[in-house]
Amino acid sequence: MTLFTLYAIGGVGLFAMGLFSFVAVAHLLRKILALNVMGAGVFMVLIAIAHPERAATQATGVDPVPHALVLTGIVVAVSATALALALTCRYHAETGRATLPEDGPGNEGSGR
Amino acid sequence: MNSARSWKTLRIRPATVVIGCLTVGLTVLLGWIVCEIPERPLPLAAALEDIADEQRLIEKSGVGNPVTAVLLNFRAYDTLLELGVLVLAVLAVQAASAGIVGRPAGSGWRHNRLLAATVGIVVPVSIVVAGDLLWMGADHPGGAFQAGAVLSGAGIMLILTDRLGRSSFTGWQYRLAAVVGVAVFIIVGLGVMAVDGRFLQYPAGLAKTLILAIETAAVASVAAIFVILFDAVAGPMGRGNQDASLDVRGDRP
Repeated sequence: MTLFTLYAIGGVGLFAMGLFSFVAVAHLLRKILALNVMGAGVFMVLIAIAHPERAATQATGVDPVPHALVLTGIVVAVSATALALALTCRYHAETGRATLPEDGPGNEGSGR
Repeated sequence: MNSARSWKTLRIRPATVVIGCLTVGLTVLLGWIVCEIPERPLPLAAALEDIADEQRLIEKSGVGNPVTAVLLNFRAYDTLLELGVLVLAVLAVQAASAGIVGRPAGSGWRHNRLLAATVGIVVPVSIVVAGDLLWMGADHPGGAFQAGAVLSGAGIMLILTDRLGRSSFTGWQYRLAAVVGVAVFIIVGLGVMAVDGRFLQYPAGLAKTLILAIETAAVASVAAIFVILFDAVAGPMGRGNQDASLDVRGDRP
């Protein structure tokens, strides 16, 4: 197992844990946390791809393009998280609930 | 809080089992795909097969750090749009959280002497570190976004100790700081367009100066935007809010 596969499998594991939480959990704050864990997994895979043993750009050690992508991605993820939190706060202030209503008749209000 | 979902009567829903099985299947598939990624998949890497070529390209970009070269020169469009996304996020967050009651003023942390002494040391050091990261980012790991993040950390510390108030983020200084990054970026892009005919195509010899100007403005923007975002979200969700329905502890899959 190379260093790349170790990091890449770790990233996939993080992504999977985040995905499970994102789907299985009702509370919106937990969903936002899960999305961030998923993002961290994607960033880890991208960083692993940039490793010198994978990339063709031996001169600089690492491939800078995935690094630049991850740097951009982190900043955008932070602002997206802030927006999600603000929308959750608004939703909570308007409805008094922190979960989205479930589908189907007769289920209103059962999500907590 | 619904008692069926609380600690004592915790039970696993059938849907959770199905979701778990699907997630495991997807994970195995993803793991296999990731391990099968070919060795040289990236277009830029393929275009730079010749190492000498790449070094010449990095030198031409005006900065020695390849990540900065990609961010501020080769793919400057990405970074310009990213700063635009940040400004949009500020607008959206401020619109969404307008009118929600914030945390009460005077939480008492201001009078904690140990905390005050720590802030007095950490904030100036953060400012120096941010400047260093900005300057070193030309040739070493670092750059505008890292510097902005460190600076915003100092700002968030000031908010948490009540030295920066909620009301102060509506002033024109903060609005100016939030947009100065994208504004300088666009002005530089249009300026070199007037000289050279292409948007964001820096003239030879001026690249480093222009990149540094853009990065300095970007530091101010990133720091201001993160502080405003934190404040807008932390107000409603902060210490003052004792509403149990925002508490995540009772929620289990």
